[in-house]
Amino acid sequence: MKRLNMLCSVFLMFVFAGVSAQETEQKEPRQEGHTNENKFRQMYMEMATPNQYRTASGAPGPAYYQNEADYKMDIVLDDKNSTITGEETITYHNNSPENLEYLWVQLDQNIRKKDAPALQKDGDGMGPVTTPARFADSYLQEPFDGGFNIKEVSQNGTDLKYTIHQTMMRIDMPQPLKSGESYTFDIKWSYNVNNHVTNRARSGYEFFPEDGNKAYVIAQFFPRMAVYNDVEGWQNYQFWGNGEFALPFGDYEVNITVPADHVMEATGELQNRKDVYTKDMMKRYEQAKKSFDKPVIVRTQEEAVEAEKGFSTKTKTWTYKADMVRDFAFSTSRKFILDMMAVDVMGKDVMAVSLYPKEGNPLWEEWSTEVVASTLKSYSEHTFQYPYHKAVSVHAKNQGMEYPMICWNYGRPDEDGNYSDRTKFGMMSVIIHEVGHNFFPMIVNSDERQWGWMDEGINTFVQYVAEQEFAEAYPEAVAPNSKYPSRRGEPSKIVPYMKGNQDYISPIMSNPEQVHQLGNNAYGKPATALNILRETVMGRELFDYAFKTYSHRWMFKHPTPEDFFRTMEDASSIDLDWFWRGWFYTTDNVDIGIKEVNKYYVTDTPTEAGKEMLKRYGTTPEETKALYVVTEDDAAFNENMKNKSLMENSETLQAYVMDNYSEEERKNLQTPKYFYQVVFEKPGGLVMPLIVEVTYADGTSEKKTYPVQIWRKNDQLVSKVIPSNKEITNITIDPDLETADVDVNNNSWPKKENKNEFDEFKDSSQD
Amino acid sequence: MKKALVLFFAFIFLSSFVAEDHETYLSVTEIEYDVEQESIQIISRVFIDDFENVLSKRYQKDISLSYKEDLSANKAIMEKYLDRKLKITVDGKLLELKLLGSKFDADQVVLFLESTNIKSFKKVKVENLILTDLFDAQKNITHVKKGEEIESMLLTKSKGSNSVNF
Repeated sequence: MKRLNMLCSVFLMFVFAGVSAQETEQKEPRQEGHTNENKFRQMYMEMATPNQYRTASGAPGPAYYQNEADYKMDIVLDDKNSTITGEETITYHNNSPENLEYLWVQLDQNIRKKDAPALQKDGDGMGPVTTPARFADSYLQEPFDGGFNIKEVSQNGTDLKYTIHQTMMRIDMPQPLKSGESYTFDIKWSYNVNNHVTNRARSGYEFFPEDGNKAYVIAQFFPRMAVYNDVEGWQNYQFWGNGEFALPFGDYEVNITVPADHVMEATGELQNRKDVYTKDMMKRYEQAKKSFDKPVIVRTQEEAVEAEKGFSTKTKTWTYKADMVRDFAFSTSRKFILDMMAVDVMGKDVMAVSLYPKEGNPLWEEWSTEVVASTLKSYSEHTFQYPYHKAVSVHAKNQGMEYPMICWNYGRPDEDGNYSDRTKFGMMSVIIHEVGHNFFPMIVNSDERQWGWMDEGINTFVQYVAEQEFAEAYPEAVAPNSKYPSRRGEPSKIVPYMKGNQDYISPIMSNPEQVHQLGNNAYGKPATALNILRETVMGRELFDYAFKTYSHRWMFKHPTPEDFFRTMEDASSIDLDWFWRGWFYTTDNVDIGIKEVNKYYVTDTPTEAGKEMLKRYGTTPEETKALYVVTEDDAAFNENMKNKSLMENSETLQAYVMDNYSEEERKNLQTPKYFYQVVFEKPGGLVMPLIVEVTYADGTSEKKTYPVQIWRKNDQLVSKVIPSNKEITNITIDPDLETADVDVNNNSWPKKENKNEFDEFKDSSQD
Repeated sequence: MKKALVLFFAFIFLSSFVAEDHETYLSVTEIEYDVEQESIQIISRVFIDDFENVLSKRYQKDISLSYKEDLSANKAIMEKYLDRKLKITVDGKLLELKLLGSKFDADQVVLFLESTNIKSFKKVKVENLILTDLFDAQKNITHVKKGEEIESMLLTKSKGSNSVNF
């Protein structure tokens, strides 16, 4: 079989070599040289050079270090005036080999100062006509009075010199902080809390006019240490709103004082549960810790509704401790209902918790905690065992945002408690996504300020996998769908973005502040790329092992993109430089098509092209026994060939086989009758494995995958011979739409007319 | 008046503080000339919650686009809105756009509009101000396709229209 195939291929190759030789005979102008532009060249130019901090294998190196920041805080919420007052003691540990002359502290709330440049970061224009209200709003109204009021920065009661520039504060220490030493200092501050629903934000309160209450979701509420590391020095790129956070790990001890009738959840372990829970709540909490099959309501809707009327003037202080977290957030209101259940996460008991006002019901009591539990299990299977003791999902009206152990999620039924599938799946997806963020970036602590995709894209990819696993665990939740209707992850879903106008697309490797479509850029495309990598390029086994290796290597550390790229290759033996380059560093897309298909028969009769080629090798058909190929259009073709077998069509081949193979060997020879040469073209810039489905006249079909390396010498055209006993009726590239091919009109032979979306809609709406 | 003020205040600095999920304020509109059917076919994608919001505020009633039936029930008001915000002029003549219908696609509404009886043309002017009355930072990416040629424009509140010559 092998030998025979090779023989035929050699001759077919001659035919084509002949064509291209003729073309190059024309005189061409002198060609310029060029650098290596091969799509498979290694990424030496793009990637940072490996070093003692970060190795070429993608792992933390022998000199890897990270600095830490520990916080002790006292926070007071004034519910009536919506202000937060705080005092903190920060202990900063300089584990770097350098001495630090100053420290940088992040003041994220300053993005809401009246004169914040972030408010002016977008262009606007003067409309020829406008409503009085809009005009007043734009030009007459005072903007919200936000931003930190820093009252004191001191060490042991002595004021420290500090300089505030936008959202960053530099603290000048009396002496440089030496390598290996720690520095402890205090900050006192206050700020006005904004309404996060109307003045859209990650942190703030929602106001409920019916009962006059507020529900707070509070984050970025304290001056936080910036990250100092081996790649950025101080990461003090200003907070402009899109690029999220870069934060060091540390231990937190936080006291939060709120009205006595509030119920709270926060990052960390609650230290004084008996002081802040009622007896009934304590009892139910103890039940919840043992309830692995369904949530236990710890604070009921009746109790919450009763509390809504109270407006207690007394206060209670909730005390939390959290170790090895990169941030701290809390949520508090007298409106909150609280439920919990225990989850067995790979042999460890974790609490899944939900906190929501009655406006979230019945949806929230039905699904939130169950989704949290399922998410912890799925993510742990694909990365590492969830290391914290709980994960909390808080219902905020219209935003999703993540913090260590706690996150805010949207999904609200209408006033009658009805909800659409969109609301339900939107809620489930956002909970999976935000709880999933515990893994990326809360534990695998990438720099969000610089690389949005490293947490959003990687997390959206695992979210897709977790959504599919959730549907398997709770089929009733997705019925009548058979699988979870994931919004992102499926290759076909990213096609409209990737085929869009290049002016409005940026490579994934871009800062989040500078891209046009952040959702597609930092979430959708990287998630899809990783899904394609797992399903189509690497296969689940190799991918999952490498992905787990990355997660374990960088758990509780600060990885860079290179660390991810290198680990995926190092742990799998698959060179992926072509994939990272194409998908992450360019805006190219996938478009592979079939240019032409020719069917050949083998014959003894010398063809004109055959004679021509032999002549070039200085021989003739008479001197050299050879096989020739003809298409049905060739002059040398006759109808009889169709009815004859391969051997019948070629006595020369028959004689060769008889002379060179034993009788036993001849029994095992295959004798393909048809030889299809398929020419594949690649109008798209990305190289991808060539997935081809061949359908035969008898209705059977076969899938062949040619490795991506098929494009390594010719990036535009490549041809393949498919020998076959049966006539081929159809050839389709990427039949299961797994590569995000942006134009499937050229994917089939014979050509299939694909209906466009408009006509499809028109037809379906006429039915 | 007071109420309107509050209403608009709600949406003033939205673009600066986009939380996780609702990415930038963006719609994508594809305008294509179909030679055989002699028609201009338009597919426009907008976020469902934005579209609900703008219709509710503009026409001062509670419009919810949650269920399939909501799309047909609110077709007239959607067409009324689009008539104001999406204008296509072909060789100097303003086209009458008919909203054929719409469908959901994840968190977006896909709108299908058509204008028929159009012989070939040279110049197209597109004004796309969809949702710019709700968000100052709204960006409307608009592709115009005729034959093999595709021209793209980024239309915003301050620069709401652009022309293409084929």
